[in-house]
Amino acid sequence: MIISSRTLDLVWILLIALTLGGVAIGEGAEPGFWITVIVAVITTFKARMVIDYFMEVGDTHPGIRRLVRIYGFLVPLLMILIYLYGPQIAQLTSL
Amino acid sequence: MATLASDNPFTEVRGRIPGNKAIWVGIYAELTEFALMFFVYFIARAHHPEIFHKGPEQLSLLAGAANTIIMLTSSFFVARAVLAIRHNDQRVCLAWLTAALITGIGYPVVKFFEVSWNLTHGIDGRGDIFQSSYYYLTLNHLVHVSWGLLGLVWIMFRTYTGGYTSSDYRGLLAFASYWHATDMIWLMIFPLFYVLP
Repeated sequence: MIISSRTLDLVWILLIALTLGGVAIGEGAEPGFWITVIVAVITTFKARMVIDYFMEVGDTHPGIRRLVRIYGFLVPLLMILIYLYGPQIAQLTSL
Repeated sequence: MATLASDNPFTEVRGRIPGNKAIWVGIYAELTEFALMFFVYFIARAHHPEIFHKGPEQLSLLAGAANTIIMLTSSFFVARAVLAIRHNDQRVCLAWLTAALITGIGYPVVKFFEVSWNLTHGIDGRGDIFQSSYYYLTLNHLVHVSWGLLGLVWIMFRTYTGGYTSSDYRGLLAFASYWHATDMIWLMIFPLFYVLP
């Protein structure tokens, strides 16, 4: 799949808008489930756009495509898991 | 496949490999290294939630946001350079790469001012676990960006000397893959230290 210049331009504008929007949402926010979910979703969306439109992994070898796409979910998923199960994970990882 | 020469052994595998196998070994290593550091961050966060909730307040959100915009924009310019070489336009490709370099240099410049600001505010890495993990991850990322900038200079030289055409630009694609992966990692680091309360 060849990405057009117009698509790249739109993706870049969206990435910048999401960055500024995420900053506005996150600034001064108190810890909470929904703020964690919002930050995680924005992070996932931005990473996926870089992966699909800049890296163009859509037609790459499955070993590359799957690994990179899964990686894009890793940190956002951990954000939510740590918020929900932080004490249990702390207990599991105590020496 | 326009990205691969007809005698390229990579055509034997299912799906293309952007650039070459060697760069993907490097990218896998980079992703693994940062994955381990992310796990350390999250385990530390699980053990010290209060310190991490207050962490982003200590840092310059402006510097973090500026470097995010710099990384995204530099990555975008590299993607446009790849598009230009697909049209066999080396001159336009070089112009996009130059824009990517100028933008990318902004990253260490912003980082320099950020660390100076940190030091004047007592954030010197000897404080709490949030500060330690912040310096460990962001300075590691700075190293990867610095390597990338050096690679970008080489790619620009190769483009200038006619090293890439629309039928073979694997070197450019290899660099682009590394640069985008480094951008993606910053997109993970940024919310963890500057945004997530």
